[in-house]
This record gives sequence, structure tokens and C-alpha cells, in this order.
Amino acid sequence: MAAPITMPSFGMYTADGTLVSWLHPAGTAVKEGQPVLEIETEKATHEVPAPASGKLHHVLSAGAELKEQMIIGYVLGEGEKAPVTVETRTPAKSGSASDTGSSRRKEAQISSGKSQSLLTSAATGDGGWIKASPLARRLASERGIQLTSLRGSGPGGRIVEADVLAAAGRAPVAVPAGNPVIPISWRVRERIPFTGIRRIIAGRLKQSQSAAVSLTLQREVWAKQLTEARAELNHKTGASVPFDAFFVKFLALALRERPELNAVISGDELVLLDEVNIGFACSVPGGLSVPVIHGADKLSIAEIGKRIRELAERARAGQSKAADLEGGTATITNLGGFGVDGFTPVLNPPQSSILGIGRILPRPVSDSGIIRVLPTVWLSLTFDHRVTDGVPAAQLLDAIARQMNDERHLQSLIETR
Amino acid sequence: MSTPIRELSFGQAINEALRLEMRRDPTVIVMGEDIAGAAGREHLGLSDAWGGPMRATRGLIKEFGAARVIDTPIAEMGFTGMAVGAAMTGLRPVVEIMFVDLIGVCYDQIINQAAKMHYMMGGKVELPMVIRTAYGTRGDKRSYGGGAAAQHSQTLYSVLAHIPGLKVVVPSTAYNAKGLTIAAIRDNGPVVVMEHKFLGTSAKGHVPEEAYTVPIGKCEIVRKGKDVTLVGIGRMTHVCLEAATTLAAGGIEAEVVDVLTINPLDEETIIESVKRTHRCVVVDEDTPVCSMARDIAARVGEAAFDFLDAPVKAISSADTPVPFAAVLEANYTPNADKVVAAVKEQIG
Repeated sequence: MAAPITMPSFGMYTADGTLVSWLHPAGTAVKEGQPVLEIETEKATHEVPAPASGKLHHVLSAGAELKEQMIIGYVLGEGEKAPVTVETRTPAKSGSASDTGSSRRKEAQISSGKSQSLLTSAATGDGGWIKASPLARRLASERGIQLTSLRGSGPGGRIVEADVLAAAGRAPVAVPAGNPVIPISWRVRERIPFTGIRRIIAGRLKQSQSAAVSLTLQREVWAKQLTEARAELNHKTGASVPFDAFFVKFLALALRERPELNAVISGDELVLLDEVNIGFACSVPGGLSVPVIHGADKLSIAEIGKRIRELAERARAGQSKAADLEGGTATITNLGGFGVDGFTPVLNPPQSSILGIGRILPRPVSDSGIIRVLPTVWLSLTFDHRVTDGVPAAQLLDAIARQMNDERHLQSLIETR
Repeated sequence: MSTPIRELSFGQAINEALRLEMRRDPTVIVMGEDIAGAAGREHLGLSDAWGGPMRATRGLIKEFGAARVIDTPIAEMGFTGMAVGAAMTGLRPVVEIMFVDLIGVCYDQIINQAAKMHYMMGGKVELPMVIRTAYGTRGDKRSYGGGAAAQHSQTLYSVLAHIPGLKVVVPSTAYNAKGLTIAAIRDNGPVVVMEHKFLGTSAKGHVPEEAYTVPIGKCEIVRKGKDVTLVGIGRMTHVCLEAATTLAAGGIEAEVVDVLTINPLDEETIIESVKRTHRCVVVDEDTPVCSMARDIAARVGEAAFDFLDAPVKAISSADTPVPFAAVLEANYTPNADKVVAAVKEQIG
């Protein structure tokens, strides 16, 4: 008789846990009482012993989230096969035919049909390309579901229709399906359909607020060196380089120094990214667009300035290419030109940081105990507190501030060869 | 009291189609090798021939006479050319090329003359001719001693479908064999009718007595399903249906589309089906390179891209000459097991 290995009860506070690892590969002969797997609960890590002697059979794989009494695997007798339990049947339409499939397949079914926490970005294959069927891609994009948040149950780990529909059934749709209808007793000037770009922006912001735990840090930074460096660069290039170009570069380099916030949460993983693509918020007719400067850490400020101008022009003309808007890992948003000092920017999902820039204005400051009037700027950094904590975020902000007052650094940045 | 349903074999259905059209229209003539009979053996009572691989012309000489049922020498180039000329000048010839393997002998008459003459003459001539030809392997292990080997077992319809100006139909049942043959005879352009050698018994079925047509250029959905579209050509439609029955036992509902005409192809029916099922397996008895299977797969991939949940799969025969040994031949052609395996691979 196959002996099930189940998630044990560790007391009243630990109903949930995670399967850290199997200590032996499937098929290993194990003795009753011998530890076979490791579980992590909120409090500690536990080893779970074999309930009987026999051959080890894995049902769930490492990383699986466990509920009390959930079947994790079996110890099988001689020539015995693992029982097909109710849990191993997928609710997907093609389920029953594949009961004859391998046990690996059954595991995949469990993970797709049973436990959301098993969803990892396992489908991400070569070079970060996500293996998903065209149908799954279309459905995911229509329903605002990130493919990176899904685990594929199709052949070779492909994300298929059933995976997206399962996720759609669980997750709230990003774009609000319908706002409550308010009885209007006021005189109405105009009724504007809440559709198109406005509705997309609303959906993204709502998604941001419901997913992330955002916190904003603010800091006043001297901007004398910055304004001088910019004047010098303008003179050298004969063009007016936007302040945004400097802040894109500062943020990009700071994220290289402190990579914690150049990250996204995907399934049950925190994914630190090895490229820095900075988006900049750009006001466009009827809404907001965020074109992206790809590889901003590697570009010169003059070059970034040029790209900002090109991308902003395309965005305002409504002619952004898909590539212009994709792949941002962090964002800057500048309201300084509109007289704003400090604010609380909203994260651009799935990113974990956004830098808000206020107006650069001569303000009285204490310079070694003497009050002087110097240009300063308020920086507002909103970050996802799930990803990291206040101190690393403050250090990121500091990494930006330091660059702004490091004359040699600024000189090297504006050097035109 | 109910009338028993009349059943005919595939060959008998084609025979009836020819007979009815020859009665209806005096310009319809048939020609080919061994279709009329045994000249010079009248004294033995052998005025009728074996009637070709399908027995499709058996008995026609007796009803219509030697002027309309013409036995030819073994010279496909000559008599196909004769049919092109006859068609250009007012007759409706039905030519029988005994096996499609022999099409190479008269390929010029087909691709350069029959298919092109309407266009070369600025549309002033019509070419209402039909080429009937047998194709295919037995594809099962019951053919003790093997099939007909590499020179008499080919499918080759892809090389005909490739030619603009030719229509190519591939019937799969007695019913649509009769209807497509009549439609081909009534069509004002050259139409090739591909007749599978071994559909004889499996394709026996109800055939109405009167003349009727099955439209050229239309697919038929022969089984409804929601999980995968199986596209079958000719005998492969039966392979698809067999696979669908097996799949149904495992809870997978396959839709089966019988292509019936490979040129012009009814893309719409196939693509609409795939848009519903999100998966597609095309099953074709021809060899894989430049094949109908891959042609259909490519069209589905292009037109239904955003609806596909798995890569379109094309199943063809092996890319080799047809083997003689029965057991090899049986493995050479697509069969229901291969189709079932492909579907399971798609669904995972």
C-alpha cells in the first residue's frame, strides 16, 4: 500500500509551509523514519521522515506551498504505482486523457490546477523569452495578466490557454471592469466615456496600488553643481539638455550601485534585473505615457537627452512604437516644471521604484553654519516596501544625491569626446 | 415498409457518375488504358475491360460504344494531349491515368497545356477536361507480400496542387466521389480527381441514385469537436476519424475536417475550425517536402496565429520512396496511432 507523505501539523500557528527540497531523488529506496524532505514554515525548517520503507515518489516539487495534510509524495511498495488521487486531476478540459501520462506530467497538472504558489517563472527559457502559445499571449494581454507570473503546464513548460484562464479566474482584472454608477444630481457639463488611455492608466494605477506596498522618501539636495554642469553641457553641445537626462543617468547609476530596487516580484520569486532601463513620465494629450531609455546606465547624458527629445516627440504625436514603451525597470517623473516641490509618485507596475523630481529653486540653506541662498531640488523616491526596506531605499536616494554634488563625477558625465 | 439504403463502393460510385454524365451530355467521352476492353477478343466474350484500378469504366463501352469509350495505347503523353485538344474543341473528355505515378510521362500536357491554355488564349477557350488517377499505398499490414512498391504507390497530388490553373479534388467516400466526379465533369476548366486505390471497401456507403454534385473548393467538417482540429485529405480523413474515436475515449474531442479539394483550398472552413479548437494536426499521405500538409499548416499558422495554443503539426509519409515490404509500408504512411500521439504531444 502506497504510504502518503503529508504536510505535518507543527502546532496551531503553522498551517502553511514551503517544500524546500527533497533529500533524495525519486525512486530512491528509503527506510521508515529516514528524513526524506525538508519543509520551511514561518518559524523554522523541519525534516519530514518517511512514513514507511520503500521507494520514494515525488508528487510536489521544491518551492511548492503546502497546507496541512497536503500530500507531498509517497513511499511505494515493490512494483507499486503512485495512486492517482483527486488532486492529480486537472480541472482543465483535456485532463482525463493524460491520466496515462508520466508522473512528471501529473505534477505539472497539480501545480497548474491546484496551488497558485507554485507559479514561478519557470516558463522563462532561453534569454528571458517566455515560452507561451500565441493564444495564451493574446489572452494574457487582453486580461492584463503578466506572463512572467504564470507557470506553463503545456508541453515543455509552455504557458497555454488553460494557464491564463486559471490565472484570470484567480486574479482581479487589472482594468476596472465597472465602476459603481453614482446617481448624478448636479448639472452635467459633459459626459466623457471612461475608455481608452484614461481607463488604461486607471487600471495600471489601481493595479499598482493593490499589488505594491509603496512608501515615499523625500530629500532636499543641493543642485548648484548640477545646474552648472548642465549649463556647461548645453554650451558644449549647443543644445538644451533637459534636466531629466541627468536624473535618468543618476538613477540608472544609483540602481547599478544599489540593485535591490531594480527588481520585480514574479510569482514566488524576487527577480533582480541585470539591465537598467529608465522610463520617464511624459504628459501626452489626454493622459500620460512613459517612454523608456534602454540601457540608460551605459549612455552619455547628451545621448540620453537626445533620446528623451525623440521619444517624447513621438509620444506626444501618438506615434510611440511598442519598443519605446517596453522594458522599463524604473521610472522618473518630473513635476518641477509645474511648480511642484515634493510629491508621492505612484509606482509603475511591475517596477519597484520611481523617482519624483520637484522644481529646482534658489532656497536658503545652511552652508557650514552660514545661511546662503543656493539652488536645491526635492527628490521623492517611492519604492515597493515588499521588495526592500527603508534603509536600502534611503541609500539609493543618497547614491543619487552624492552624484549631484560630486564635481569630478559630473565632469566625467558631461565629457564629450 | 422502408426501402433498404443503397450502398455502393467508391469505384461503383465513380462508375455511376461517369455513366450518368455520359447519358446527360453527349460531349462527355472517356479515354485511357484498358478502359474499354479487349479489342480482338470479342470471340471470347471479352468485350469489357477490367475497368482500371477502381473498376470505374467497367461496362461503359457496352452502353456508349467505342466512339465515346476509347482504349488508348500505353502513351500518356499522346492521349492526354489528345484530350487537351478535344476539350479545346468542344468535347468533355475524362482521361484516366492509371496510376498517378505515371503522371510524369504526360506532365507537360497537364502543366503547360491543360492548365495554361485558357490563359494563353486570353480566356477565349475553356478546357472542360477531367483527369482521373489512382494514388496511395495500402498502408496496412493486411497486404501480405507488400503493396505496389515505389513506382505504383505514390500520392503526388502536391505536385498537381502546385500548378495554377489546375483544380485538384481528393474524394474520401463513395458519396463525395460521385458528387466530385460529376462536379469535375461539369466544370469548365481542367480538374484532377485523385482516387485512392484502397478506399474501395472502407469508403463503401450510401449513394443516391440520381446525379448530384459536391462543390469543388469546399471542405466538410465530418466530426465536431472542441479540443483539436484534425485535417484529413482523402484516405487520411478515415485515419483522422479513427484517431478521433480513440481520442474521444480519452476525453479529447477532435474535430475532423475533410479537405476534399486541395486546390483551390477552402482555407476559411479550416481556419474557422482552428479558431474554435486552438490546435491543429494536418494529416497527408504525400511525402513531406513541399506538401499539402505543410502548405495547410503554414496557412493556419499565419491566419490563426493568435488563436493557437500549440504549434501546428503536419503528419506526412516518410521522406523516402514507398517501401515494398508490407510492414515497412504500414509504418511509412500516417496512421491513427501517429495522429493520436501528435495530439497528445500538443495537449501535453
